[in-house]
Amino acid sequence: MENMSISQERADMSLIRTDTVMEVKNLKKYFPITTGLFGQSVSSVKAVDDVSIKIRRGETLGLVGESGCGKTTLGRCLVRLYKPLAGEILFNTTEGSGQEEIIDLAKMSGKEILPYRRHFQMIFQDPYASLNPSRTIFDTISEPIKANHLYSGKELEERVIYLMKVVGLETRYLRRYPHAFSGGQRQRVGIARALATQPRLIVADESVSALDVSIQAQIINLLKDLQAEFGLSYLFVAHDLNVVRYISHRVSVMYVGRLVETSATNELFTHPMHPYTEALLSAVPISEPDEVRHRIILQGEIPNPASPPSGCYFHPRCQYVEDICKRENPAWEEVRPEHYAACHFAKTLALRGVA
Amino acid sequence: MMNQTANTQPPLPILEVTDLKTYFYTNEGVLKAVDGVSFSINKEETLGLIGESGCGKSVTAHSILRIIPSPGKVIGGNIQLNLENNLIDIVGLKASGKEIRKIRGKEISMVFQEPMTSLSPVHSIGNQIREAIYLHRTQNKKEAQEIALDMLARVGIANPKQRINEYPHQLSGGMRQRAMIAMALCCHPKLLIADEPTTALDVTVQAQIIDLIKDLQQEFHMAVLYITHDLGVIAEISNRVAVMYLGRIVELGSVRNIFSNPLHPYTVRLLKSRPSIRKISGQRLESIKGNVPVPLDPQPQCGFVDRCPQAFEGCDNRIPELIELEENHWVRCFLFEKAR
Repeated sequence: MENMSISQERADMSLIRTDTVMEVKNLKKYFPITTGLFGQSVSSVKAVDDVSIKIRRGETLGLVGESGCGKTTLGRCLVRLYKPLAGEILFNTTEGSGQEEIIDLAKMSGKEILPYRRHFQMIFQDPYASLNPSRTIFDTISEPIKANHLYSGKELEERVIYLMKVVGLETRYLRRYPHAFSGGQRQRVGIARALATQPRLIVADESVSALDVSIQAQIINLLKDLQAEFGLSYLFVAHDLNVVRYISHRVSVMYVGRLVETSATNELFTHPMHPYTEALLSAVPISEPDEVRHRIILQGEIPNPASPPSGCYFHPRCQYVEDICKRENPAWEEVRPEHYAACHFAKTLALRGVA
Repeated sequence: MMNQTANTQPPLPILEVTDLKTYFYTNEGVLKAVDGVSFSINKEETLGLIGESGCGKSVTAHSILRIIPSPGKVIGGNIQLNLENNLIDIVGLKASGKEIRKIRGKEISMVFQEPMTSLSPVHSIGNQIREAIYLHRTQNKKEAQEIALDMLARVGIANPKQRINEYPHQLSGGMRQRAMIAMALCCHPKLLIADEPTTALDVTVQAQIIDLIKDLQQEFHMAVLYITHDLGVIAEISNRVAVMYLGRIVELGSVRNIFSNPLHPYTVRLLKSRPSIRKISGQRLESIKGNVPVPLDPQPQCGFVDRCPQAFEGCDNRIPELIELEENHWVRCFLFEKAR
């Protein structure tokens, strides 16, 4: 027991292991609710509340949850589109065998982050809204390269052509505008733009949700190929559990701004430890018409994050609820090796996963 | 004896669509959104209509209600609504006439995808539900209010007396969809057309709404035309499934046939390209090459020919027929036309 606590301390001291690209500790992001002429803050929406995650090199961490649970806000904090209120975002900028350099994105100002921005990029959900309609594909893909002074002139054009080939776009479209492309092709442009600066981490926020099934498969395969080729890490934010199971190595489940469970993908889907995860899994429609399923229909609605319930946020909808759940917020615990959950009864409940 | 044989005859389907053609005359050419679609829906049955964006599934639904916006036009085919002792040819009606208005909302109702944009933001929920009741059921204010309250309670809205005076922005997405279903069902339609009613909702809410539609279908003895692009949803809710591609039905059969014995190369690949919660991560998805085409002045050929790995010479010469390969299992593909 004593040994364990010492090793625990040591792990904390080293902050981040070399195989970890990003480690987020106790991250908080609140949005104030203001009122009146002078915008007095009356209360706040706790969009991200005390979240800790770790993303390893070459790994995809799936982040699932329902709308309004804070998954997009968390993703945006990680690439510092939002400045978090508290917590740490430790980022390992080390490349190859070079000197390890760890920065804390949470504390840095926008200017200080600028030289590091190229290491983390984002792919957005809506390929129609996230491209500038008045700029050609070349302009769009080359912009991050120019902004980071990576290439110029002839080299720049070669680099853009290379990126287009990598994502499977025909290079003769170089000077075309986004309106001439279909949704799948536009998403490829968005991916090429994200890859342009050779990032180490890409936050993909619902990047395949808007696409048709046949096109979705193409983009998922592309994301996997790129990961294998460039050793990319992804934070894959999505609500579609089918896609998340397919693409992720590990999965975190979020509910009203808090994490409720994190584990390796297959473990989480077959042996969920949190009742919310169980309900979420049981609600996914599956394409097997003959199968009789045990479905948990959750009662009520997702609570308003501006006035969440007491204790465990899930207790008003949980079928296993006990008195303690109404009073105390459950601790984030490692229930099984590498399997974390925040539930008072994680150890005793036998929950149903998918086969 | 005579009577018995009459009884064993299958009852008329509630809706029969034959060779429906809906074209949009645009500046760039003729967009053949629906190009020869035929299907029927039996009483109390759920027919799932599945396809990717732009395949014509919503236009098919809009054609049935005759709410095709200009420059679109139903230019051919037949839509027959079979009410008791009354057969109505919908294509023959005037799109803005009295007859079709008697059908909309009364015999055939529709639930739309986006409950925020399809509900009026400036009228209360009750106001919008009562409008349909005044049109089709009663002019009595008190009675209409009672029907509206009863419907809200039936679709699972807690505290209907308070909710009935609220506006759409005060309700959550799931609540809005429930309110829309209440509006659609308040006149007890024979057929409910549900156009992607759960696409904008979260999975747990989606499960609630699918359950609700199933329950109400039994309660009201109505047929449902359920339109979606989600294979999982279609497997859960449908009795029969029609797969659409580029304005035509390419395969039609029982839900079991479509999912365990798909025939058309498009259906086969669509099922394979879908990642599943049941599949262990790691395998590669089999995607369909190319993009979903737009049916702008299409060639007279199989719509899937450019993306089909099994295409052979002749696939691009003419349009294959929809043939009944097995009992109640139809497919539109030259592979099977040859085999027969």
